[in-house]
Amino acid sequence: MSQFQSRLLSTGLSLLLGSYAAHSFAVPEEHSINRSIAAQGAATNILWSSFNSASKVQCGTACRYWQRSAGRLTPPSNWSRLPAAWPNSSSTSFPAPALLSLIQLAPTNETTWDDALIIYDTSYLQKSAVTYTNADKSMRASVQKSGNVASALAYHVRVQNQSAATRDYFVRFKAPVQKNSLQAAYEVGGPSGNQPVPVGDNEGVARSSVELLIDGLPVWQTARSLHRKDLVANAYGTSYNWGEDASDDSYTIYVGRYSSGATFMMDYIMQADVLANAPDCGQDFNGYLDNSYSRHCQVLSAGREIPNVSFGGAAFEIISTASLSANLSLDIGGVLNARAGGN
Amino acid sequence: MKRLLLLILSIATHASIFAAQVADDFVPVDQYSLSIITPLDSLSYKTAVHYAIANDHTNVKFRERGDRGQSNEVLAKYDVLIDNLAHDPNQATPAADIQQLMPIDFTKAENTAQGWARMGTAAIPALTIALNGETRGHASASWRTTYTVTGSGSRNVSLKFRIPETVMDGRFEQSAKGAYQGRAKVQLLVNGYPVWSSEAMRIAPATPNAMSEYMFETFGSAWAFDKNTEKASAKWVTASMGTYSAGQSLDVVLVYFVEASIGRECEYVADMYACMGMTVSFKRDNTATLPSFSSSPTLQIAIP
Repeated sequence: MSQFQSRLLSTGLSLLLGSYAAHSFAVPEEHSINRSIAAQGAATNILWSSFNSASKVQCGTACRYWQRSAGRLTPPSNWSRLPAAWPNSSSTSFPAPALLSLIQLAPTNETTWDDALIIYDTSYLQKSAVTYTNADKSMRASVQKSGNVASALAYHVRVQNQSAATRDYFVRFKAPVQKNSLQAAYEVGGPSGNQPVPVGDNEGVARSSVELLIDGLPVWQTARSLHRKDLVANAYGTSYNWGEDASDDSYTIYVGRYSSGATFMMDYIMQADVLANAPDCGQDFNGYLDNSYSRHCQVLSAGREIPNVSFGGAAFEIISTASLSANLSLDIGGVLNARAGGN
Repeated sequence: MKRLLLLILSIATHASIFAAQVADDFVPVDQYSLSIITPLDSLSYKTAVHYAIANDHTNVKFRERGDRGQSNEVLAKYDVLIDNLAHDPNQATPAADIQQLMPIDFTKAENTAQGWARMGTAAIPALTIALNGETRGHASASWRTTYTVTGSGSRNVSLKFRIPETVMDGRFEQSAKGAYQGRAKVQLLVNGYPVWSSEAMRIAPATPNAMSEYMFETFGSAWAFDKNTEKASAKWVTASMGTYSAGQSLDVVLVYFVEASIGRECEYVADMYACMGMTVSFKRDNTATLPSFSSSPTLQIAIP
């Protein structure tokens, strides 16, 4: 079992924090998890040695996939959902996500009292996006200054055992790496006169999460939250890990044993939320020739990598094997009936 | 008399339309009286519970329990990670009756974790992860069903469901102060898409210096936790599931989830253990009313 719920107190000199902290602690790791009890209520714990040597069959057309992307800028803005009609038609392979980009741009005509132009470091005030390019495959929610922005991404899979025999089912995936970050509001100064110095009493909290559910019950989940509040953080924020490791980790989860014709549902959900109250910005004069100021405001983001469908099974795959050897003596908590049942 | 009633109804309807009208737009009219209510127990539904607790300091480092049931079948699971079971007040409890179960006396047993998971007959869960010292755990419960949208034409569909009293109770220990955190989440899925969710976190500095050094944060729909009582009151929620055509079948799942962890071992001080504590719980709720779906016509009236 992986070490979940480790807590990372992130301090540092970098203005960009979240992802740096995660990578500095990252340990690539393969995880194999028996989740048969969660999935089926039976004490079937497969031997992973038998899984490793078994012939694996891709789900193929026995799996039906649906995908939906969604985003919302600060209310009263409503959620935008793609596809709008849900559920839409299914596909028989893991789908690329519907692309989404909701943006409120930063003002470009704001001036000071003496008509100097104010140029924001970041071009947007709010952004909710699902991006799928060669350079960036992610879902994100971001707020410069103040706002309440969210994104969501859902994959819904219906799996059927279309063989004539009972089979064991597994899901393998690379845990989506978090993309949280915090850029503090700052101005250039300090002892050297040339270093960023945080300004203001800005606040904000961001969280990105991933969940995997089998027949409606969570069997794997991870989250990371990033907090910029006086009580728990300096200007660069403090991060908290929840659930399973997801820095550079791959998982194989035993879903359960299904008879011929049986079906199960699998849901893979990512969510990103940012709430920020950060009106204070720093700014620096660019000189009389430019007659402009660069404005440095807090930018708080939550996000996750999303599966690269061109990676095939490395990103997300459902596979099955013939019924494998089980280890009923595997310690998963002793005698099952001793403390189960009742009202 | 009948004509009089019709006249009053007509005036009332028009009054509400005019009061809400927006120029150059359509005005949705909420005709609650036309809603078709479908209680969950009139459908075929399945329930499930699960918990996992972990402790790196005991011989048994990890335990989990799960179960699945049909409709109003009661599911209940309990277990503990503890060095000496003699200190488990529930050792003699044959069934996981969450009403009877007692918390561990943390002064006598270090680094302990208890997990309870229960789904009652009204599809309202009770979940608890209770930790003392360096341990962690999570628990979940859910129900799922296939709901076929009732009525005719385009329908606004919603679900009314219960969130039990929710506790995120921490215990600060000066002699063993360290990190502790907890969270609770409720999420409504329609064909795997989260149409409604609410999540609350309790976080503290890595090394808090006082009991009061913690805060609650909420994502999604509002969930008001009281910092004095360290809990949120039970409530009914009516969550929109969206607009669908009558006759459409929807896979619906409602998930309840709790999680907690403590990052500091207990310390043995003055002949007893001193431990940070964290309990996150959906309390047992004996409400007999089941969740229910509502399907209402999507009426729109063109403004002349």
